Amino acid sequence: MNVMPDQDKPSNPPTAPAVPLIEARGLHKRYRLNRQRFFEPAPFVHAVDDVSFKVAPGHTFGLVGESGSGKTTVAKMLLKLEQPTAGRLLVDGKDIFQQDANTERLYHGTVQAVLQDPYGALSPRLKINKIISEPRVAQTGMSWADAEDHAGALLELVGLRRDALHKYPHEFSGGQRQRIAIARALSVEPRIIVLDESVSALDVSVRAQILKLLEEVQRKLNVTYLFIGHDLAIVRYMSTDVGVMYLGQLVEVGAATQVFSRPLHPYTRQLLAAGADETPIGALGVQGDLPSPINPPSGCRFHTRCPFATEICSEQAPVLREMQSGHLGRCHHMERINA
Amino acid sequence: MTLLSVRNLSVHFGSLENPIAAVSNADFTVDRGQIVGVVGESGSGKSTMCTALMRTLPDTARVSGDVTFDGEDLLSLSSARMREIRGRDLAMILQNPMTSLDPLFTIGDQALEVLRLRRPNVKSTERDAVELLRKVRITAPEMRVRQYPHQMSGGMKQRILTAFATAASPKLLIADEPTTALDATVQEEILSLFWEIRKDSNAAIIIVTHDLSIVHRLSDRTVVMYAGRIVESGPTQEVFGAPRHPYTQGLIGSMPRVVNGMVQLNSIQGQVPRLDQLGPGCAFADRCGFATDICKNELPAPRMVGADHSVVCWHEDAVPATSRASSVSAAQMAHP
Repeated sequence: MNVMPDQDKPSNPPTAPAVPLIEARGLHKRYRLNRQRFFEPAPFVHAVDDVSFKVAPGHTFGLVGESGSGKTTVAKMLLKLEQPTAGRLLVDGKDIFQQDANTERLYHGTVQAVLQDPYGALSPRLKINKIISEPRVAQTGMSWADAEDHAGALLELVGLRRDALHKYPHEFSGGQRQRIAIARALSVEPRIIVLDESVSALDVSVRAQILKLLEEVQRKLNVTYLFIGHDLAIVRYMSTDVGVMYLGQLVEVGAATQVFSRPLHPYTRQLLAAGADETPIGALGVQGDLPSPINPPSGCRFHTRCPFATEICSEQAPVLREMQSGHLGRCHHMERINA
Repeated sequence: MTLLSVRNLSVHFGSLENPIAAVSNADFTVDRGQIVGVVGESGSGKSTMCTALMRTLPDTARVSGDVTFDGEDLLSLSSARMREIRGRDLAMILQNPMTSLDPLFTIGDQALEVLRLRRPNVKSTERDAVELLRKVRITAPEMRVRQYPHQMSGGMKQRILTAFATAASPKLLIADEPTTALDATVQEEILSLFWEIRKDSNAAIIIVTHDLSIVHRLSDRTVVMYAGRIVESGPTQEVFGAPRHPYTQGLIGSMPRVVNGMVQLNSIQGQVPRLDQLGPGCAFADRCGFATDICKNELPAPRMVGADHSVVCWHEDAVPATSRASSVSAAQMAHP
């Protein structure tokens, strides 16, 4: 059974196409915290602060950044698990937070997710058949019998045998469970899959297999990925376009080849140097911990850890501006640094 | 000069009739001041092996073999003597810095407890605790000693634990996945801390990790484990530059790497076998492109393929030597 039409990824996709599939326009998300002192107003965490990007159909947009930088909050908004405080998130040119109930129900068939923990992602009480078929039955009203047939085909697509349908999650290893989670995400024929640290919990050799599988799925089904990760080598491998986040802000966006070979922002440079084979140990020095997103540093948020910082950096917040076509950075000194 | 010598170390769990070998016949040595990286996937026995060296495995584990540490036979020492050595000459840092500190006591209290145990005859004060934290470059240590673990970030906690572990200037520090839970830039700080500890006190370090790039950059020697066995061990530059075991090659290939501007990635088929379902032969045979009948039926013995470089494979001479020439030169730069 042919699950979905076999479409080829565009061989030479333009970086900023006319109609992006996903478009974020000035997204903000603030969370109110508990009041610290009785007579003072409750503080906010600005988890996502003015994030804008576009993703073309069939592309992979990689989001990198350290923990607490807001990557997952962006993913949650795309999955409609969080409402933005301000800004718009468009899929197919339509604001996903202005949907009627039925559109919203169908939207959940458009966007699916594969998360980090393959153990927590699958209900231990359900057989694999039920796990994979349930979303499809709910979305399309397909009969369980037809859905089972479909689920079997999906299992084969992700490299498992059809007889897995009648087993329980505990009978599978971490890598196999992640394959099942991918099959479940594919069951509703989504156009977008959010991959939030989907391979981080896997062993090195298994991780490579799953990355290859995700690539193959994208080539066959032309799905669009939002790929979140902290391992730059892996994000580089998977992504067509990349956004680098720091304390809730996008500090650099561009085509993956540009961002990784000619990084504009000092933070991107630092991330690339950390963990690179070429960097001698100790060369980066002590950066200290990430500043708190509750009281982010004034001006440019990165100025406390930036080797290029000058006076203006602590006074004036830089804006995201285009340096080369489609390659943007949020830094006052990009010309000087990259001269 | 050899500090730690491990010969035929095995750890078995389960019943006597159906023992499960978590570690089988491990052989390796660690010199003074040497950094040894132990890599392997989950279930390869790397953590069990190191816990066995500390003698902190549960009673259900059956440990056999010879372990000589600084002239003493570790496995036959009395538990009283072991307690003296553990934490003083032989220290360990665990993976999860979030659970290794007691949430009910301040950092200062816990630092003082460490100092009291290490220097029973000296009265330690808060100032000593502050000094201890300052050594691992905790900012504002005067404030930090009065704070509780939940007020620290993960990287800070890992640095504090490293400070505790190295308070008595151990001869050997065992670090089990010390950076796994940390962000990239924080990870760099912990690695450079290890680098300094080695430089300052000539301590030897065993670093256990699944992250090949850490081992590549930090260690002098690399030990690769698979399904409870050491399959390759040798100088890091040789193991990464010209890996001889098919598994080592596969593992290195599974890391994305940039070649001529393109990111490349290979994967090993299949999955790590369960330890209770190992056949009589080489555990990697099912996933190996070079495997023949002998691999499935008989265990290969270690063979020397260079000075200090051994490989446990029947066909190591048939396996083409791949190279990561570009990164080897970088590793040489990083090793002064």
